[in-house]
Amino acid sequence: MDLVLPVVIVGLLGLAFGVMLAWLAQKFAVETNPLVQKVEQVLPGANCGACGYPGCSGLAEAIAQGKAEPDSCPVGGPEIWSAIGKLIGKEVNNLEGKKAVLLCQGGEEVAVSQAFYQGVEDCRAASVLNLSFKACRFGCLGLGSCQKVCPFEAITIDPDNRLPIINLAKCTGCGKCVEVCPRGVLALVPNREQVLLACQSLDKAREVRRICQLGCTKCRLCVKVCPEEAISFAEGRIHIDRQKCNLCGKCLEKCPVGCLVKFSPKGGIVTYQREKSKEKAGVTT
Amino acid sequence: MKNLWSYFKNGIIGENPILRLMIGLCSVLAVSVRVENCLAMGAAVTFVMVSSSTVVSLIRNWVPSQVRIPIFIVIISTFTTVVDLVMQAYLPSLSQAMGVFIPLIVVNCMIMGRAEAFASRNPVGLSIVDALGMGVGFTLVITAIGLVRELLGYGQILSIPVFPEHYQNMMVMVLPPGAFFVIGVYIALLNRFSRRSK
Amino acid sequence: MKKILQTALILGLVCVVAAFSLALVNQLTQAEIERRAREELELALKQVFPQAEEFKEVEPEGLNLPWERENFSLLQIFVVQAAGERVGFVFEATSTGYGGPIRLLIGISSRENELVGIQILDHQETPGLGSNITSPDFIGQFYSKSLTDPFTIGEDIEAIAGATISSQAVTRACREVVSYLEEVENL
Repeated sequence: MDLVLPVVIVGLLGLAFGVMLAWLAQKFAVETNPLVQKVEQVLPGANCGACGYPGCSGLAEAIAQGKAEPDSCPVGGPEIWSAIGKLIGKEVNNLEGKKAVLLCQGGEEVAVSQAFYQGVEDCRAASVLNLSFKACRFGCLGLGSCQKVCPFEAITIDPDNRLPIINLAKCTGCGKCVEVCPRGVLALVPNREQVLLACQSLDKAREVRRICQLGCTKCRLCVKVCPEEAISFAEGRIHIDRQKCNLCGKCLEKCPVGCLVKFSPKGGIVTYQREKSKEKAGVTT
Repeated sequence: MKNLWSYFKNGIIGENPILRLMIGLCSVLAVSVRVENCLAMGAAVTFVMVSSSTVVSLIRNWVPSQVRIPIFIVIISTFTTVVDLVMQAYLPSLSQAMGVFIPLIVVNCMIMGRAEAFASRNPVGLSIVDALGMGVGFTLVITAIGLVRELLGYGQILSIPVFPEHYQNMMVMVLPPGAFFVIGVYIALLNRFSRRSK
Repeated sequence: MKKILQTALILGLVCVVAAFSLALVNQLTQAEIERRAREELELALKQVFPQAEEFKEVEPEGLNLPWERENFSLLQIFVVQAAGERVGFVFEATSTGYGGPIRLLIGISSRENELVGIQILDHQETPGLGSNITSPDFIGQFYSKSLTDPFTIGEDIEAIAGATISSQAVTRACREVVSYLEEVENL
């Protein structure tokens, strides 16, 4: 008897609750798209928000509904993109991923300082009025806001010239640093070999020469020398068309200041001068 | 084999329930005053964990998802009650020292968490290894906490005095805040250590 | 409908299996648990009244006593016998301390009119402070005290530093128990 009574009571309770729960589950069933769950399982699950959606589940829903492209997760990278593409039956073309690059070479010895900054160690604080201690209004301030914001510890500040160094192996292309930089000297570029203009200045040639040794003087030699007509000049600065460029390197050779640079997935940004000096020393990259 | 080992190790270092997931702290704070209690608590938790994970994993394929949580709770509470009864019968002094914290294993989110997150999705063998790893990870950390607390709080280890007679007991170590201090130090150490090795 | 029943049956089945195994374990351990509890009580009783030969539990229904008082309640009375004669009583009572009720046994010799022994069974006082009520330094003060003593902190009992409330609880329990003595005299 001691055995039977509890078993019967608990068994009946279980039965009653089971009926209740199953009935409730049917009554209040929420239609869910099984695709959402599948996509969410593929996503990294860090809920970093770099995609612009509320967490990974938010992005998964958007992808399943076709509102977002399969390559919307900047952190995921090609492997995850193609996996999601397979799930929703969409081809993913952009399989190389993106990386952050620094488009300014105006380090401490190179660019002129017009003032002595003493304040919060943060680029945003130091450029409140778009004027700062650096004479160039477009140059990197080097106070490391990008370093602090990077969730993957991919950015360090070079102690020699106070410019950020981006570790490409760690950079996931999430774009947080691009967002935070008040000077706009960081950019996300496709992770492949290409020529970049490492200067954002819109100043006139005289002004540029006065304040920075590696600033673009708008001489337009590169425009003239490019055999593919990939380089153009508009709105006060040089533009390089990535589609037309065939990486011949003539512009790099011709550029008198050396503000045109080559980016490669392996070595990052390489200036023409540096490449040449390496060649001289017999170092192969 | 190597795979199994990595699942086991996950509970001890990678996702240590106390130092990494920081779950199930309630019983840790209350019980870790003496090493003896810690060992008993660790053993009890490990037993409940391993056996409930095994059963949950065994029946995972025919549990309807609407009633899975009540079913897990029933399984966990059954094993907890078994532990409680056996301890009352054969280890009465320990059972008294632990008081209400043995029955409270039922609501230890660590066990429920592992049942829901791991055992209900993985085969039996893996679930057992995972539960064992979690249990051992829990036991190791709670014992390490108990060691410090008993040493500083009572000047003893396993109820054997180690400090000279005139040692002034650190009262705070006997009280729950002491456990927080020790856990904090351990978490800091683990973070430092694991960041370096990266 | 079929799905509902199926779900309910599975939950019911799990419950039945769980209840059955628990009932089984309970049956296996119950005797042992009760035996231990009895043994423990007997041991404690022996400790508060070493001269006793037999303890007789008094049925609480037959007594018209104020079992509950402010911050104190009487749980159980044992009549102590030695050599066929009644020599005293042991009272089991709780008294409210700092962290909750303190459960204790107090042995009183009606022949010698003194408190024979006292033991704390259960308490939730602050470790390191209130928990010192179990230490011989404090509890020893009560042994062999005459029942005519005032049992008051600051007079005949010295409180534990930093644990006045806990000390008071134990002292109060003794005082209350003594006041019951007259009413149980004819048991």
